[in-house]
Amino acid sequence: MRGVLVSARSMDVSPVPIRVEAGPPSTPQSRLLAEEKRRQVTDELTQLRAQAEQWRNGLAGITALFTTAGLFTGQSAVAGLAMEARIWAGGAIIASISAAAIGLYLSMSAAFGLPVRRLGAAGMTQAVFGELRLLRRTVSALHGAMVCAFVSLALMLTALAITWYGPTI
Amino acid sequence: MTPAPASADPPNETVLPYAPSSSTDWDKLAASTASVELVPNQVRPEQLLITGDCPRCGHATVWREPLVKFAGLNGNHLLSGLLSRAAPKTERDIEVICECVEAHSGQDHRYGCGASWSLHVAWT
Repeated sequence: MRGVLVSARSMDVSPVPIRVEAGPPSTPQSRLLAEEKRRQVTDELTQLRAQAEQWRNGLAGITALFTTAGLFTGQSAVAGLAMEARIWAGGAIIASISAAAIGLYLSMSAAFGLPVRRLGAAGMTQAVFGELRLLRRTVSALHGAMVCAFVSLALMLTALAITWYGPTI
Repeated sequence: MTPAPASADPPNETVLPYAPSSSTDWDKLAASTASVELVPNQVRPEQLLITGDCPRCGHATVWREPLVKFAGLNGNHLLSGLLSRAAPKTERDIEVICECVEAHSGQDHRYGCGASWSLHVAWT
């Protein structure tokens, strides 16, 4: 038996024809794979959030370290530098801490979500649509947090290089 | 997996006990009644939403077939993403497990009667 069904979403220009036929006979392997997929669909957001939580811990450590280092050594480290080098070193430190803070926010947003007012799903398709959107946003926030972590590190190394090798008075 | 009696008869009135089972007749029956939707859109679908009645117990069931994976990536997702874009798959053999919300005695999972059936879904 063969059925031809049409998926019609109002947002799409033309509906895509979907053909459904009886598949190959079930095997223990295909059943196991299906159970694995069921687990993936159920647990994916939890797994992503656990990953984001680890990144948040790392970023929190970097932010705390850089802020502390900046507070205690910043003034004396740039004391002997020329004004231009001081400005660049200070700017790099501020930018580095800002990048780490943004990364921290993004990783927390990925790990714990961001409560916003949203209309509830009116149907199964909308519910799945909303969940997939949440997954994509979580992944984007996590990637953003990773980028911020490396940018922060690069900026702090730049500031360090200026204080070491920058022009003195 | 326990082979099931080959029957495409209408489902029983009584609630069947939980039993992991499959049948080629169920595959044919489910293929004729299943409704498939591409989510979130038809251009870059991430899941197939398959709805219909379970051919064994007759209860309404929904199966979500993931086409992409988000969690657990370890850095090679860029390559796999490029590969999947280069050769997008538009057909797939899917094993659907009954996920009905009816209570079946002996359940080892939160939902379903244990039956599974196989579908071949193709879209363009």
